[in-house]
Amino acid sequence: MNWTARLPRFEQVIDYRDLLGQYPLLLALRVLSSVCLLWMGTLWFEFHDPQQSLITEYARDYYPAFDPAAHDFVIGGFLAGFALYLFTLLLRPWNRLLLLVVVAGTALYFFGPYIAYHTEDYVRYANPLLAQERAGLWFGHTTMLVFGSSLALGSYGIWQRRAMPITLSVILAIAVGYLHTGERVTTLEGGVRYGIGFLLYIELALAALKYENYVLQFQPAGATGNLLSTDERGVVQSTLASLMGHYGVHLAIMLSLTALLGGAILEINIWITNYTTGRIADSFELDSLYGIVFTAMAAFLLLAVLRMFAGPDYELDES
Amino acid sequence: MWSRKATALAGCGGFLALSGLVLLNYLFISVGIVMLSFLFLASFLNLWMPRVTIERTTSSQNIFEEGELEISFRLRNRGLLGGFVEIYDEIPPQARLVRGSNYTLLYLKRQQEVSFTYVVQVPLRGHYHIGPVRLRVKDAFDLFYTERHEKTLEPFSVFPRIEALDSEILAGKNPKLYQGAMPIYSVGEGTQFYSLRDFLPGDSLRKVNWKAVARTGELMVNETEREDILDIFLLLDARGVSGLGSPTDNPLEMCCRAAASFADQLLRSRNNVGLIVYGSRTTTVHLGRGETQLHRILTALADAKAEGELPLKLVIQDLLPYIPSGSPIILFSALDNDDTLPDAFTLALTRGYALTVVSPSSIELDTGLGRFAPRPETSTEVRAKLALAQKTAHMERENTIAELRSWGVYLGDWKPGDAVNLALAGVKR
Repeated sequence: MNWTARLPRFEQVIDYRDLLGQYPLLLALRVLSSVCLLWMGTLWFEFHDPQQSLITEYARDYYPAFDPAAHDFVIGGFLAGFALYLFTLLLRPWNRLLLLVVVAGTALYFFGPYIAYHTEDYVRYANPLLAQERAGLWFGHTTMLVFGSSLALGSYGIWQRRAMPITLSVILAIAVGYLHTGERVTTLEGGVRYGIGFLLYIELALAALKYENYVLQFQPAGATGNLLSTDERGVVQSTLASLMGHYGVHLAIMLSLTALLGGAILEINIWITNYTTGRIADSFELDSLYGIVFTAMAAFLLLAVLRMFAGPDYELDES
Repeated sequence: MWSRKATALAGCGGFLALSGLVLLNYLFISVGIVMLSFLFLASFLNLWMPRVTIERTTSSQNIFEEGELEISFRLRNRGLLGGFVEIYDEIPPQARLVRGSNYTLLYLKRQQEVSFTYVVQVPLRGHYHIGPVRLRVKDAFDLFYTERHEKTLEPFSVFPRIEALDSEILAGKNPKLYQGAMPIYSVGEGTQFYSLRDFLPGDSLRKVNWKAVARTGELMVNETEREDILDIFLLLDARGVSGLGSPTDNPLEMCCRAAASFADQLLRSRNNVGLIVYGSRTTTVHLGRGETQLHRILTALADAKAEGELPLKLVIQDLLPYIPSGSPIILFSALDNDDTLPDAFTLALTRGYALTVVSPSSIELDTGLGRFAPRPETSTEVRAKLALAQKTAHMERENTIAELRSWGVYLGDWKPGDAVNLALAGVKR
């Protein structure tokens, strides 16, 4: 018997159809969301330099050679999330086999140097510094996971089509920012860019989820393959194209307007300083971050009052 | 209205802006302010939401079990601008979607008209309705929306499935050998030609035989042979006990399918057919003929619910004074939990009525559903008791059937899963 015939077919090993999806537009949207996630992560860690994080300070107590680099976390975290998604696509028994290999490999990677430090006496006596470093390496690796977790969750959420990991990725990114100790004020352009990057990631990731859910309703739970006829698929495809086309136009216009409005609001304190005199112009607080937030909140208050008088009120069922 | 996403975004934006202030983090502040700006601008998007009108139609008001109902929607945007529209049409929980979807999401341009359809299949008889429709008009980012509930409901009935019966159902005692319209060799209303006679004032011109007029030169009319119609009553047992089993396989469902098939066959043979459903009370469909009568019977069958415990004797006592002696009565019942059965049958038989019983076996149904099957952890003693209970129940039913047959009742012991035709085979025995 030909031994190649005994090899499992590709579709028996991995559910690759889930990765590609039924509609190229949705795949494109997921890829775009992933790119935005990487961009958002890069911006986020560019500002919150891991070297100035409380996590890094704490890690260096145990592992002095700990030297985190932003790009490592961004790429590594994203790939970890994507790998986790790919793992969920593996079918039995291949997923269990891989899980075993991954667990063993990870344990060896994290704890191997620590075990070697305790078992290989010659290292301890011949090169104590190297031995110390190797013993703390596992801690350094574990700490990297903390930085990369928001990217990993975001990537997993986008590809696995789950809202919860996407939400958690945003929360974790904020948490990492909280532990940042450095002070740094960037330009207006930089501030707007960060905001737009963050929004773009959230919007595209959630839009991908929304349109995936729209398509999933045509496929009963647990069913694999396509249950729609070619004509019906064509109708769904054209509806998707219409929805996503209009969504894209709305998003582009809204983000441009948001950039203008956000930029203007972030600059209000500077305008006030420039165009006023006396105590207000000389105010130290107005020129600082306090001033930005204070004037922004005042601007939003005024805009909200304007919005109250613009257009009809929302209609309630009772009315 | 604000969506959850809008609320979360507003909360997150405010939190980031204030946190940035506390931590002196410019990134937090800028992201928070940009988020709030985005939200503020999005709140303007739904000022000119599309005005959408909905028209919904269904392919039919009545379907049979496992039949398909097509629901069509026509949407029109009468607003000045386009917008994203989400529609969810509520369908009964028993219904299965077989094509399309009752939920849709689309972008409606100004003055655009869009149609879509979906098809549902309902496996259980009954009266249902489609709707109400929930219409949500929202911005592209799901931040703000207006929602409308269209209260329009489309009622429809699901009739029991009718199976084609491949033989005559009844061989009645009297007055006829066969069911259906029978000529009885006397002048009257009918379809068969009997004789010619002279035209009399009051005769319909439709009856004039023009060939005979041409031949004789006088107005002559056709006379027809009078036909007799058999009056048949169907009795359906819808007591609470008949609903025991699974939703699709229980004595009541089986009885309804059999009654629908029998009614269809008997009405096709031009009989007068009536129906009485008894459970907590009696529902009567008076004797009648034709398609309309079949519709009335099917509607009553769709409405039958397993409830109450009205004894058969009371039903028979009420029914007999109103039907001609000798008319066939067909009872659809599992013959469970009714101590008045012997009295009821005696009453009908002694007054000369031809009784036929189609009885789905509830014991077989219970066995099929695993009611008598012991669990793996069941002790040997309990297993023996279960086996004994099953055997006793079988014997009781067999005794009842044998007793009724010995009285001259045509009784069909109908096994679950068998076609209605096989129940009929038992009846003819």
